[in-house]
Amino acid sequence: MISGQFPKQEWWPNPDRQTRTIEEAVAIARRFGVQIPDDVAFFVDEVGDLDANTTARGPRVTKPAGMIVVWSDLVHDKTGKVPFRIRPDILTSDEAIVAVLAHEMYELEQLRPLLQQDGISIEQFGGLTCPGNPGNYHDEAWELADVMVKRMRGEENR
Amino acid sequence: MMTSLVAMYQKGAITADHLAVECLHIIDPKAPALVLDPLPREVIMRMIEFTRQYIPGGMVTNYGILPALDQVQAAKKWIEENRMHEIHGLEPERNDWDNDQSGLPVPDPVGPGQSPRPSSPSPRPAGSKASRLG
Repeated sequence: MISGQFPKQEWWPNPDRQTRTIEEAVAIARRFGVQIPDDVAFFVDEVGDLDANTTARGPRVTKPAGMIVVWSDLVHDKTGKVPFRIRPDILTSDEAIVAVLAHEMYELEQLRPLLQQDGISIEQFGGLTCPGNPGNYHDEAWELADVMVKRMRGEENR
Repeated sequence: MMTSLVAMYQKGAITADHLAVECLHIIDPKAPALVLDPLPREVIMRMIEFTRQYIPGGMVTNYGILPALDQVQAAKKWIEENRMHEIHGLEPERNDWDNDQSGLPVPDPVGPGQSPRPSSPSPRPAGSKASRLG
């Protein structure tokens, strides 16, 4: 199913803007059905690297054109986990937490078998995960995120 | 900025490759040590690998600004002069874009007491591939 480049659902802030920790955010996302594997780690973007249009980001990958991206390109060499940075204001909304973590995990789990088998070219990697390519994993991930938020609100059955 | 980036790497929030490319992008080619000197050995290893793969105008990234050729050249030169001893099994390697001042090819060292230069193995994480498509 093809949707837009951004989520359609607006995310309501928590009452009194309560800010969750990363650990709380992961627990909330899991409680509402987001599958978060153990080889993933989330961090707050403390340096303001994520702009107003970027809710979270996984690893940056840079290679010569045509080179292959494999799973180990995403994994931190010390922790053995794939790191994701979350924009701080996301943690002030449980709906945003569920949507953003669902989005990132959807993209990652679609990529995982591709990257763990033969890998894909850096161009394919960008094309599947970056905005601007209708129908790619990025789009599908926002579609799923919208569904997850509706479920949280009881607007959509599982 | 540098302190924040290194701290992010050390706590696991960004990969060594990510840190290496971000650092290359902020290097002043006239003073690369300011950025490169504090970097952990493992990041220097990734960076030297990146500089060897670097193709001017031919790099692709999923986000962020790419480092410029003069930044990559300055980093490669500084690392080879200052940090190469930390990286066992690696020796300086020439890129197509390297220019020696004479403009003439530099011959491999030969003569008494010197062995032929071994091929330089590239440090690559287990499972990674570097084949070019098509």
